[in-house]
Amino acid sequence: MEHERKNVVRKKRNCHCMQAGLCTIILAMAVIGKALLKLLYGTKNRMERYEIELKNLKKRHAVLEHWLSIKIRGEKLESYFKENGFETVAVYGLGTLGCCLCRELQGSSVAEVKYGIDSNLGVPKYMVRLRKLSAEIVPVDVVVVTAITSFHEIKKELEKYYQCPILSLEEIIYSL
Amino acid sequence: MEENQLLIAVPTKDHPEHMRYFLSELLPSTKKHNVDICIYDSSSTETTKQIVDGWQARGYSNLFYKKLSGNMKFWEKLKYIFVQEKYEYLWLCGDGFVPCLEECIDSLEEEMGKGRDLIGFTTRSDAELYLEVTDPLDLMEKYWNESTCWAPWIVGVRFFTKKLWGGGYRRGYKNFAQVGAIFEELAKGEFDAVIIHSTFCKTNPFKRASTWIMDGKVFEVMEDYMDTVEKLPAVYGPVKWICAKPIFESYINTGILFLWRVDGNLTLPIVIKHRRLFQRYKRISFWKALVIAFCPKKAANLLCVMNGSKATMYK
Repeated sequence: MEHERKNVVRKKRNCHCMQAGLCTIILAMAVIGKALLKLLYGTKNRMERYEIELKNLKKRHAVLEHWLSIKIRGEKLESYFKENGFETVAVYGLGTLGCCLCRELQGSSVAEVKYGIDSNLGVPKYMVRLRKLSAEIVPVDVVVVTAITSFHEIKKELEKYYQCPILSLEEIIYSL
Repeated sequence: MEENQLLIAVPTKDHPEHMRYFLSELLPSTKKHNVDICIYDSSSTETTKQIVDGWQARGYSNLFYKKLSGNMKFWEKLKYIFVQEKYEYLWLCGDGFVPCLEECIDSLEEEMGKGRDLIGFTTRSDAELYLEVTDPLDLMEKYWNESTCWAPWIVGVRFFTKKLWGGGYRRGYKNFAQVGAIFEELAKGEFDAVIIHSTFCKTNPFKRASTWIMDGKVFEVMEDYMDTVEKLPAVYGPVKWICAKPIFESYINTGILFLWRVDGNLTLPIVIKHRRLFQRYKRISFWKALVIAFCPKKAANLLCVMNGSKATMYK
């Protein structure tokens, strides 16, 4: 009798142990699965980010390539400003393209870059004075946005401050 | 180039950014070489017209503009473009690819001088540098895949008449009216074509993917493609399905179906509507497509980003 009772207790204990083991395995698998999924989604997000960056780079490359072909043809960007009567210019975004534009218009008798607008005022740009977007803006004839990949969002923001035309550098380059 | 020798025909619809880039890249070289460009615009806005007007005002008299109805079917547009007698040759390009005229003008002039019916370009690495073709089967074997796009063809307009385009349309080549009609005509008798290995166009940076992919018409176009191959004249019988296979394999495979699921090309109603396509194209079963149509978009997106199909199809 005693022996049978002990057997039942042992069986129950074994059963509990198995259940606990199974639970632990399931829990561990869930944790590992979750970690793997997180890793997978992290990799996917990174890949998507790289794809977007690649697209943006391609766009910038196309702009620079076309700009170069304009220069090879012997034409100048200032002809666009002259045709449209833009004498004073503000350049939004002082990255690679922004700096190229400022250099292109430096010393031009047609269009003068009055100032640059950039969120990063800490980086000194020797060719142009930097300003932040604020209510006290200095009026210009045109604002050229050189951050071409987010032009539409920037344009919306700039329209709150400026009454003049807001153009993308792409639009100017591809008009020549 | 002589006057009225070559027209670059560009059908476009609601792609002003594409057109701005296209014209700025191409116009200076076309003016230099006396090549005309005509924009066939079906846009709902006037932006494309304004861009063209701007270039015309700057003295580009070789640029023309024609407004087409937005309701015009694709193959009707092609018929409208092809059936014209003014030009000797016609180069049909979408606004997603910009012809590299400077790169191929010399060979173009030379071949047009020889009075070719068709001048084709290829960039395939295994293609011959210069190949004269007079046998339709040979042309199909060597050039079918490129033929399904527009930009590689420069077509002798006298070779393609109103009657042919009417016939091609009546037989229902639809989205592949150009290639269907051309191969049908070539099968009738002698022709003189040449395929040249050269960089002939570059991708417009504003192009994301083909319009029919963006419009959710992948399976409709694939069904048209299958019909086109099926309806080709009997002379192509021995090779046509072998030649047609790579295109099916690129647009209908398990990996890419997940992408079609994400971008709305593969939904339950679409799978049911085009079930005939899956029954005819045995490599993917109707049931497999049906299961993918039920796959959550988030999971499908994960799969197609990881296997790279998204980056391949969407530039």
